[in-house]
Amino acid sequence: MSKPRPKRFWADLKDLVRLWPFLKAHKKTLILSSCLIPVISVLQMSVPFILKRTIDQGVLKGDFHVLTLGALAYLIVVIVEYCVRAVQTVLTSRAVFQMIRDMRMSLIDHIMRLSARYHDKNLSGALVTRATSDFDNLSESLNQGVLSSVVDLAVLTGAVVGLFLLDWHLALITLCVLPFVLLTINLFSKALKQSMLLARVKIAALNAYTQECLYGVNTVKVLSGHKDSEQKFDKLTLEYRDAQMKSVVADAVLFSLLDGIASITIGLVLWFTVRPSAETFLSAGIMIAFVQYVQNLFDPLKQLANKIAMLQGAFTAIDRVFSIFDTHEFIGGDGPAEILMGKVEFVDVSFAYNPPTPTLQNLNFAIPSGDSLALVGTTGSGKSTIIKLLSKLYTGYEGEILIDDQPLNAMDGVALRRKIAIVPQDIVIFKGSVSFNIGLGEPEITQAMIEEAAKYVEADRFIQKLPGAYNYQLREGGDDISVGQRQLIAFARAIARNPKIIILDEATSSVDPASDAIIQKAIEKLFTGRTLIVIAHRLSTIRRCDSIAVLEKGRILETGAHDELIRKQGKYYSLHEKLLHDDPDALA
Amino acid sequence: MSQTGMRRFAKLFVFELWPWYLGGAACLAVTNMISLEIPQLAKSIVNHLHEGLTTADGDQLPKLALAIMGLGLAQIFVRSSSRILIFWPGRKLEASSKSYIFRRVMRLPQYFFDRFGMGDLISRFSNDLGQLRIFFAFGVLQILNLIFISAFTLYQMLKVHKYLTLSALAPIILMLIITRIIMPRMQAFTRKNQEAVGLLTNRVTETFTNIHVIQTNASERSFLKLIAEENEKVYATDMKVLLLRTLFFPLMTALTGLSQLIVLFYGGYLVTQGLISIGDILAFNIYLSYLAFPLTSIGIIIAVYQRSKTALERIEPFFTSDLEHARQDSAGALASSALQVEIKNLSFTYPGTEHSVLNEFNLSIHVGEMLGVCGAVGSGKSTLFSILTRLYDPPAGTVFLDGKDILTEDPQDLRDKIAYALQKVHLFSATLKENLSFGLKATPSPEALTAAARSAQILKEIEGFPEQWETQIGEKGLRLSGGQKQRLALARVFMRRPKLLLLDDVLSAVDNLTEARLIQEFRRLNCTMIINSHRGSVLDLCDRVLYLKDGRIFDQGPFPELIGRHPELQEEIHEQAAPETILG
Repeated sequence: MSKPRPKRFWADLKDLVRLWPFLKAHKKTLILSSCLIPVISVLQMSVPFILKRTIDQGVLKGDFHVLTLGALAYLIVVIVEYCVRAVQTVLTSRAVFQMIRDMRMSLIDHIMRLSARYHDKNLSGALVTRATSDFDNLSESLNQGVLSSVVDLAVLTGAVVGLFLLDWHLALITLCVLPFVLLTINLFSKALKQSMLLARVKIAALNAYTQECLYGVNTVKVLSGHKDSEQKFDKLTLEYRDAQMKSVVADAVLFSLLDGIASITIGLVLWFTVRPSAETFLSAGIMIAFVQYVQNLFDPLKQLANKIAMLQGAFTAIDRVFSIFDTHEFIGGDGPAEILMGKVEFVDVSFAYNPPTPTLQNLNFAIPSGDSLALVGTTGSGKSTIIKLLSKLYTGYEGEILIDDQPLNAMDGVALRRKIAIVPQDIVIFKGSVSFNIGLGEPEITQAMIEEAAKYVEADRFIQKLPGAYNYQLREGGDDISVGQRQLIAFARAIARNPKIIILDEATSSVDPASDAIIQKAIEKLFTGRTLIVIAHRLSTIRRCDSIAVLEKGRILETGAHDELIRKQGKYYSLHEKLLHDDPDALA
Repeated sequence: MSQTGMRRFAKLFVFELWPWYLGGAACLAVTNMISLEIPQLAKSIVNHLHEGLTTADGDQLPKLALAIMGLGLAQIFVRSSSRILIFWPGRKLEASSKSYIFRRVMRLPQYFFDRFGMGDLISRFSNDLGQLRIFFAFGVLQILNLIFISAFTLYQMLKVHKYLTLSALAPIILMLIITRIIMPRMQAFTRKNQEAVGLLTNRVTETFTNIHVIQTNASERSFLKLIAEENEKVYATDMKVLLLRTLFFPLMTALTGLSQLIVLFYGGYLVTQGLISIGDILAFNIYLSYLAFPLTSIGIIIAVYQRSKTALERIEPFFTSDLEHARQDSAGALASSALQVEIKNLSFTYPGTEHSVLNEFNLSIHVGEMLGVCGAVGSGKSTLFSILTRLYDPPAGTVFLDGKDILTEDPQDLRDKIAYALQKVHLFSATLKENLSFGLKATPSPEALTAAARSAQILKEIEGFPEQWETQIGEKGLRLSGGQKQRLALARVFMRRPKLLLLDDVLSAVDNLTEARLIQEFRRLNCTMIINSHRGSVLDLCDRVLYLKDGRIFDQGPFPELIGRHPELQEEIHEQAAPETILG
């Protein structure tokens, strides 16, 4: 989570530079549109000159010809400026929208590749905000704020140059004001940025809580928890509101200051020309043109001030987006993961989630290709960790994990997980068809493979009964099918990829017996031809495995086949006995 | 529709802020008066310059110039106040409307959530209210500004020359016509864009929430592809809005330029005819530049208004959907400590589906009975619980508690009497203590927490955590196992004094001994109990067991008899008394 921290203007500009890699593809468009900006400046600059000449030579001398010419010139300037501005805006905005589109995908890709450990630490709601509303803000700020500010700056430059050309004395007077203006902008934009950063942190907390309450709305209802949830929600809402109020004040004062300074400048210029000690008086044309110029000078400045908030919004969004891009909590390894046999070996593996508390200590075991291993132990004994390491969701272990004698460290995690199937404890069903939920949209898993997998685990029976069968659109979370059916889909999901290694994590714990019987049958089939690792809860499953590893506090106490371990009369034996006699404290 | 929506919104959240708006409007009026005085002063200086100076003027003019500077200073204070006074209520109403809608959302019936995706609901909730805030702060400021400036400047301009004023304003009429043509299209495009953003948010939310599953299955690619499709739609709609906007907004600037051109040409002609002074041209130009920004902002105001209208339409369902409520006046409170349940001829179909889940269901449960329910997947077990707690409403005259139709009771009062342990456990990202005391009328004592945790067989584990009751759980805290989550959820049941206890397959992740202890604890609550289970050991303890099939009661009786009559039930049930399960 980013904490509010004010940064220097230069650092902000550096952040803008970081957008370049994403903008590079649109280099030509950007150059073309940049070339149009000086054209706008020149057009802006010409207006007061036309005014001065038309008034002094035309109006005041009663020359209708000059008046007409001046009006025509003015008309041309207006039309050309409109066209140039429109073309310029479309070109740059299109580049920005394309950049946003590409950057968003690249950030989402980045987030999805970040390690499981990173995702454990970060609220998914906050990450969603990064990938969605932060980019919406960025695109809005860039289009409405930054890009038009560039045009505003061009107008400003045009106005300054024009001032000097018209009358350098007056120009200098006017420019005296500019340092104050810039100081003001700098001061207030800092305050503004700070309060906006704070507001962002508050809104993220509010959004995360909203999400939690909406997803758990049934629990809130059933527990009559409305008051509690409303209290917390109101508190978060007010915190967000108050943070925003501070930026409202900064924004209001800044805008008004610029407006006021513009008026003061006009007064100053007029005072200078009519001051008691003034030697010569200027022509009315110059005066009118000058006042027009001062307007031209302050209009873009006012716009800039108006857009400071947006500009800060862009900086904040960039800050937050890049703080994720800068996170490289990836899991290393990009070598191929060719799993032909499915042999798994742990050599002296130790691991700690929170060092120095060890989670796994000097683990040694090997599963020959096609064999099955049951992991037995209480919560916290390290069973799940073994699986997380093997699937390369976590890294940073000592020792060596080998699959088909190849070190796991060198393999690419994604490639590896395509070759092994994991059935986790909590089944997730996505919004989409049954087929999608089994194949998860992977191109190499064909419809035939999906249906074959479903038949294999006997999910086909219930799927055929659904309206539209495999095309039946499941709801998010799969509330429209039963827990057992969800479990069957998860099984089909695992089997569809025809893996050499299958990992079952407590998959049988919450299935209704009808499905359970079917799944038991499916598991039976899994025992042949594949390496199987089970975090087992049922003695029948444990007994069925070729070997059993009994874990306690991250160590393997004993390994061996069921009969062997029973004969040994060790930990497994006593555990088994106690379980038979219904004593769960055996594992406590 | 949105017209009444706007009125309702204003009535609920905006009108009460009138003192703010009034103060803001007053400040804005003063600001504009000051702004308009400045061109008048400038005009007299220029006129004097042109007409030549007398000595008296020589003393007068610098004072006029100084006055302009003084007014500029005053502008700073008044304008700041006007902006603060108008922008603050925007923030206030955003917060108050958010809280209001949140209250409604949490009381909307379940089928409302089924109809919209969660991500979409969240996006409506968080983004669309922001649009309304912009309208009621920025929009209001711009509208007031426009009114004041046009009123004041028009007065001053008309005083100088009627026809010059009218011709200078001609381009503005043109602008209003163009606005009327372009804006409806802009609105349509904007709505499509907002919808696209909503769908994208939905996809991203689903993906990030389930990132563990996606990574485990190595299906990052396909989910990226799905997101990319939605992202592309956002881009396409963005571009359409952009094109219209770009053609439209610079047009406003151009039309202002056109006005100044008319002043120069026609006004210049009038000066040569001696009808107006040269200073008037200066004043006119300044007026036009004052008018320019508010006039350009007409486009912005309309865009903001359209967006807020779209936003109103999108949050409309929050306001208009019926909340959970009692269908008729509720009668007096129920006295007994346990409830009698009566279901008469209940048939039920989920809203928006065709398949009926319960068919002509008849059931009577006497006070204090422990009723077991078993049956295959989809036989209607969970639906029964959703109906008893009114997460879904049954038809009238079908479900009675203590002889009273449950529809006549306020759903919240009803749920206060019932403890329902959902099959899908939901815990909050908060401390253990907060999770257990969630929804309780009074903050529970440490003893009460300990007692409930002991009853739920989770005390030992909680006391084992380093931070004990203050342990943070959920996304950012400790990850609990399925069994621990289940027992924590059960501890919530023990924090209450329910008259009816509904347990939906909540003992699936606990071992037999814990299960036996839990049931003993449930019995101590002395309430009517319905247990949905697949365990022979649990069903054995029940007074009576229902065997459900296709939404009907296929048979009922004590479990041993039931299983004797229906050998096929064996397939639905774990082998009796087999100590098969190890605590996870």
